[in-house]
Amino acid sequence: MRIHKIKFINYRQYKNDEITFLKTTDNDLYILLASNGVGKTNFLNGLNWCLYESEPHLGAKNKTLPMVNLTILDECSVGDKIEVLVEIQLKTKTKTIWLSRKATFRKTETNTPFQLSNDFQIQIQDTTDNKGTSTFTNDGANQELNRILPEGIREFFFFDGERLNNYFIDENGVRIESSIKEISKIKHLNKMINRLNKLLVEYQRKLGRQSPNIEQARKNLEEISVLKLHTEEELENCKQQIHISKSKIEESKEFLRGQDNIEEQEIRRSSFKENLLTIQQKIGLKTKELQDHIRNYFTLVSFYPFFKKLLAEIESKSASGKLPPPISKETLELIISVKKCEICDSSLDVSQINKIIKKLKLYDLSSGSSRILVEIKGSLENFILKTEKHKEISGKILRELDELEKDDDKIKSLISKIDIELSKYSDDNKEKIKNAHNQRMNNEKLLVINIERKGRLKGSLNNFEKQYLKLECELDFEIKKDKTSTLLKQKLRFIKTAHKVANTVSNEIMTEIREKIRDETEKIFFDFIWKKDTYKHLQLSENYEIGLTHKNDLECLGSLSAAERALLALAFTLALHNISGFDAPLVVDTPVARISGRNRTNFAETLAETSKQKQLILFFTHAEYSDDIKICFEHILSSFTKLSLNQSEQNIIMENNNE
Amino acid sequence: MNNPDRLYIEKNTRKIIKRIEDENLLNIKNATNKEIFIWAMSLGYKAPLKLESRDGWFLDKNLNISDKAIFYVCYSASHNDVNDFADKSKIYTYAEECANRGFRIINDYFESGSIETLDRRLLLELNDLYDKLEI
Repeated sequence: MRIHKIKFINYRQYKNDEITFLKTTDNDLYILLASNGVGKTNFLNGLNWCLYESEPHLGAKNKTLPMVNLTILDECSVGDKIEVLVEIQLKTKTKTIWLSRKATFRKTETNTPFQLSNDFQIQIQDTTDNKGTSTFTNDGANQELNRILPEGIREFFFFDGERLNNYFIDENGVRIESSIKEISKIKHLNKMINRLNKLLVEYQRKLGRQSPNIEQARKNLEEISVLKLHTEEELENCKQQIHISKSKIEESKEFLRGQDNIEEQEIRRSSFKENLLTIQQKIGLKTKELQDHIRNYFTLVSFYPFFKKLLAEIESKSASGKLPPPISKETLELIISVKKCEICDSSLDVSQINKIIKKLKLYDLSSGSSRILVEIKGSLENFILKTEKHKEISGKILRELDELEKDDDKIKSLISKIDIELSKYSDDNKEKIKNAHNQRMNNEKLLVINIERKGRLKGSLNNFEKQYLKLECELDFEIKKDKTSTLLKQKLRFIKTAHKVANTVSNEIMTEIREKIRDETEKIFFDFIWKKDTYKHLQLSENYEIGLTHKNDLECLGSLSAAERALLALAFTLALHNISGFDAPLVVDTPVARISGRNRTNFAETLAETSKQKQLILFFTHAEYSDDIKICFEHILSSFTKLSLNQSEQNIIMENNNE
Repeated sequence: MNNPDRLYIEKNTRKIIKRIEDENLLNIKNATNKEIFIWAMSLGYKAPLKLESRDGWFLDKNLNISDKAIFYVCYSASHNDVNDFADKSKIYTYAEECANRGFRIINDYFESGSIETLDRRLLLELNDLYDKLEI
């Protein structure tokens, strides 16, 4: 599916404008170029308003202005009606779809527009088998829209470059989970689960009124359920705090990077921070190695004298022939009594029998014990050798740990030095730099606190979940014991089974889609990434949190560059398009805004490649559309449109310019 | 002669183990039930303590020959008759009693000082033990 044409009438800066996206090259790629404040973002708002009746990217200035074009508002008289229209024409291989929203306003005496109506319409012309045109209006049109471009995942069609950068910092798991829910179409199933849950509680209450034991078990379950819910909320809140801190750290970092005179220090600080993270991960692993060593060697060292004692005993018994052969005493006794070898069946003479009797008298062990002694001899020898190396091994681990801790201190002191320098910084921007720096330091501290808190809350939640399951079993047991209310019990059993089945189905669908999206995202990301052989594996955990493993097995999502983050978000988006079957275009506002240096062209090349399979409409400012970006796009563009404002600065001028 | 298929701990010991896991003392989160048991056994072998209740902790099919060797060594530390080695029930019961005492000792560690430094204190204790060996 692709956008063929967009038409604006009286919508904000767009008084009467139309733009057609005709594919003229192998790349379905279109660029709109405009200075800040001209109307790029309102173009995106116009699309959103037409489809979903909201303008999510409105800036502070536009929020106070009416949606009606200011020129037309001035030209009208009080009481006149003004129509605002945005129409989008989509094309698929077999269909042409017109989506239009028309709002009618009346100009009031205070010169402000008052909205009288708002109508949304979709017309679909199916060219296969002359099926004709179907028209849907308002609610019907919304239902149809939900099939074509569902609102729940609109941010995967209409992007903002800033968000592309922060995509996996902001509400990582929450966002991914909600989008997977949207494309899984399990909303109705979840509604059913909620309803069944309510019924379950209602019926448990009813049964509780019949028996005090059931009521007590139910109350216990309810209490733990409240605690569980409270902890879930706290955990959610903690995740939000972590998200806020990460965004603030990122925001400060970006601001500080943008300051020419401290950029070098910022880059050094970032690099130290990355090193620090790696060292701390290594310290963690080494500490675990030391802990395992202490635990294992406690056993070895404690038992060392007894290893030696037992080994000596085995060796002495073996040397004096007191260990019997691996044939049982009973077998030897049988041989003596029947005078026949049990193995070769040949008869034994008296002298041979006497030899066996003599030997048997020597053995002072049962065959079971002797077999054990023979078996453990090798282990005892190993234990003795291993124990003797305790100091050598623990010394090596401690030395390595010490080195790592020294490196850790060294890097921390280097970071601290930069922090001191940054906090003393003085120029015109001094206050802003200081604030950004303080904001980052405070949020880094907060982040550590909240990550620890998150771990503790997860632990508590885990406990509550276990207790909940236990108390649920106890309630079931009490209900089962109760001999009355057979009908109520039957109904409860049915609800419970239905609830369980619905939950299982919902989880299975979510898991399947999650795994497909993970595979697809990984495939696209690894296909596009310019640093080949740097990353090993992409994870999408059960909590829907995305993670990326470096080839050295360390988690590295936090240390990706802005361009790599944007690429990961793009890969996730394209995976979502592929898996969901929503073959929608991508409209991206300022795609390289947060990317600098060589990575700008890397990412631009990725976008160019993407446009071979998918329609891409990109908005740039003049500064962002720099020479390096231009080189990537100019030969493959299908169209290039410049947006500017007229003299009154109220209306857009569109200039199609295939430069 | 009984033929037990599992090793037991006291029911209350689970609380102590949960505490060790919560504090992740000596990276216990990554240790198996068998490893935790053997560690406790080596701490408590000098004063075995009978179990007042029995709660299955791990199956003996998880024991390899080296683990079993530790069990026999533990038994031989206070018994002279290696003929008993063939009596699995005797060996396991004694191991359970030693581990039972070991878990009490671990609990005392928790009661006796700061948990943050416990790993290092155990290392010092281990070094002391080692220095006393005739190596």
